[in-house]
Amino acid sequence: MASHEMHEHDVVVVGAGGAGLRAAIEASATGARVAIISKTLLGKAHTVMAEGGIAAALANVDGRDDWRVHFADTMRGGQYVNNWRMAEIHAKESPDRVRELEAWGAVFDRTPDGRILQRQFGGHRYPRLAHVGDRTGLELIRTLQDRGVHQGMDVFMEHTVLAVLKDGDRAVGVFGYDRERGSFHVFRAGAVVLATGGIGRAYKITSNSWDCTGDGHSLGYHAGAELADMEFIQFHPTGMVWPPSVCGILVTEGVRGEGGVLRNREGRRFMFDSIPQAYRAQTADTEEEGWRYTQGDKNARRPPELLTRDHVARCIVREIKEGRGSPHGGVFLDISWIRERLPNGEEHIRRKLPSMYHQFKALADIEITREPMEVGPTTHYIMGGIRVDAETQMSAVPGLFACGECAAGINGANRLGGNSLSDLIVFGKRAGEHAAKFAREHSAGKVDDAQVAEAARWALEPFEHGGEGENPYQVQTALQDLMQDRVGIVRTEEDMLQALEGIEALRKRAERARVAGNRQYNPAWHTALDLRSLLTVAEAIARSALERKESRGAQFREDHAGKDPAWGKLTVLVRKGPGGEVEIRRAPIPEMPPDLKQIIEEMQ
Amino acid sequence: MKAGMKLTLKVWRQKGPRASGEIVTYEVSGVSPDASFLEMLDLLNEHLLLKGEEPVAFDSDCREGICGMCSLIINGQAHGPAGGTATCQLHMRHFEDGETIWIEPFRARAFPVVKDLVVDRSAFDRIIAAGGYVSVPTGAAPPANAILVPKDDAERAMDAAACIGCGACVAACKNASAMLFVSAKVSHLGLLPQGRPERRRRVLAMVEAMDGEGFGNCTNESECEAACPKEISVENIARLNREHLSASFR
Repeated sequence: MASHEMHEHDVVVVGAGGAGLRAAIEASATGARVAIISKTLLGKAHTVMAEGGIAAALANVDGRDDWRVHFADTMRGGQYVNNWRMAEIHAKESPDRVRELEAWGAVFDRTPDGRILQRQFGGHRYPRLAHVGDRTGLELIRTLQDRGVHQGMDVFMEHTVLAVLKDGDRAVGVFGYDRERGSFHVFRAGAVVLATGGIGRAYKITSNSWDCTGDGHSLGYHAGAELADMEFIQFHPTGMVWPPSVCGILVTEGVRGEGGVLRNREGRRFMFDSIPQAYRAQTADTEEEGWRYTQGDKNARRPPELLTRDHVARCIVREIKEGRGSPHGGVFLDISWIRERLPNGEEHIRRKLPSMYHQFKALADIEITREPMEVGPTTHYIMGGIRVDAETQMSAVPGLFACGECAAGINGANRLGGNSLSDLIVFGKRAGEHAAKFAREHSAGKVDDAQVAEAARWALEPFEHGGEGENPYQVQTALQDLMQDRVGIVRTEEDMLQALEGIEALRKRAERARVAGNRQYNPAWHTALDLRSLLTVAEAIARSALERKESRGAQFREDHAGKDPAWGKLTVLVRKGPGGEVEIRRAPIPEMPPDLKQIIEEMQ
Repeated sequence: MKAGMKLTLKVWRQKGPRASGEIVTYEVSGVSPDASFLEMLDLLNEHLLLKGEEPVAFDSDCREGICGMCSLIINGQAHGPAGGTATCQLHMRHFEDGETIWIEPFRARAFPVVKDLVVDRSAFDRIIAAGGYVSVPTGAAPPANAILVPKDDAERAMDAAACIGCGACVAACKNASAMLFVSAKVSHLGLLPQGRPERRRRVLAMVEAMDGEGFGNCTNESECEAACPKEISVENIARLNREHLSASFR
């Protein structure tokens, strides 16, 4: 058997973004011995890229806000297929989690009287996003990181986890390797928390970090947990489309929140052309009313640019497909026009959107205070993930927990902006708390040497394949192209059947991936090992999207346009069958209790 | 669009922490002027892989200047020639066709080379662990609006908090000083009410950790501010010195 180093902990957390750090902090505060494992460096996780803010009904800016409104907004955004209990917990607990961050030293933008300022965001009825300019994620991760490193936990940076180890049904640790040296490690633990984030790198155009390869989704799946809602992938409506090297990079919704408008090449504000019935009552009738809303007028309704992301993304695709797009295949997003309304408009834009200002200046040589940006949809977030219990965040595998983007439930068919950072801290805390509790209540499990040997053998395979093997980068690129073309914003049965065929062929190529050189910091080896995660999530996405024969939220089926009420009561679940095949099933969503139903009716 | 550029790269290759390294010359062609610097390196790695050679190891993650993972000395400058940007935000249009580009890792005793262009920056984490935090207990959340922060203080704290911890300040400094990094953290927390109770202990502990890691002292050259992708001001170093002095005499 390949040699490996052994580590012993009560709780091992895989992933050091917002959810992982928050889980580790909570577990360690209860006295548990905690290891946190990061594929990259501490503090460099994809969470840092979140710009908009943290959704929490603090009611600092508008006293009418409370958890009930936040809950109703989240359910409406998710088209009512959310795990309603998670949506309820999230709305109730996120204000406490934000105040906790503040106490730990996080900076926030302030109201004139010194309270945490909250901004408008798509789908939220009242100004609700606590923010730090447009780098809220950076501030969140740094606060958690600073807090975590002093509280006492073992940090393993540049370590990739390849398998969850099991003793019978229960998760008892993980197996992984250290990217710097290429050596193997076994982490034995009373409980395992997966907090690995998203899957953006399964697509060609994405706003996600280069490490978002769906590792947690895949680890959970191969360990026997169920994946839920995998068909729901959010395409952020506004990514940069030019120049090619920056294609996919996010342009925050904050631009629209501050008064930015979308126009097609004819100069028309096309978002006014198709406002969904469910949102008509809350959407501005005129451009004038929309402007007043962005400037804090409580009697005005929001402009249609701030409708849910899936809707905005599809409207943009429509404009582009019908030939009304911008020169580089997007549409125009214009914030510079607010100079007509504000005397110090340029200064205002630079202060409110500093990262956006620099991003366009540095990357595209565009002065956003003076000219419009070109934007188009980019793969941004997956609502689907490991199915967990709402209270504890434990999966179907005892001792295996999941939180953050790699867990499913709170967002349903579509996520509202700002609800992901709050998700990380609310459910990260719960996962850490309950993982520590599980570890306390159960005796340590036994690590099976055969599982370790098998994982190590698999990991080393790419070095065995000679000159005939496949280049892992080429397989990865082919998969990204395939997913982009076939399982994107607009889907059909035929496209997805072809995608599944393509994925199968790529899986065979990935099995022959070849890597030269040694195990020390070898980027080609990392890519070869990531392929299994990418292929696993790609197949789960395509199969789930094929299964749900309706259009809802982020899933848009051209061959099944429109919502089907029967599907509104069902969740699509994927798990690994006994023979290693993909099993797919539909599970009924539990009935919502009357008090929550009533809230939703009142907030219609 | 201009035709692809042809470049000569002089790249630092080092097999491991204890191996001795050397500059190796590579030619790349067909580089788009719209490509980013890291994509140009991706292209080089693809060629190396096709030839069966080991690719060049370098750090990158978000590739949009937020995570602070990328860390290259390009033609002698930390994060390359463009101001206020990280390596990942640098584009090939800043270079000429036919140019020779020197690419080296961040160099400092406290940042040992791991492999090729990858360095170990965990010294920063240990400085933070020494004092860069607010230590209230994890547990009950505080009541609503218990902490009021004047808007001006919040904005100055935010300017200091813009630091992404990339280490360019250290790499740019002839003394390999980490004063800009440490001062940004000390300023950020010291300007906020929730950070004030511990300011004395914080500054002493962080400076002690910084010295212990082998970073040098500051001799006011301001090279750090010039290299900083977030344009953090050396004013913070003045604030650090003031805080340290007043903490030392108490």
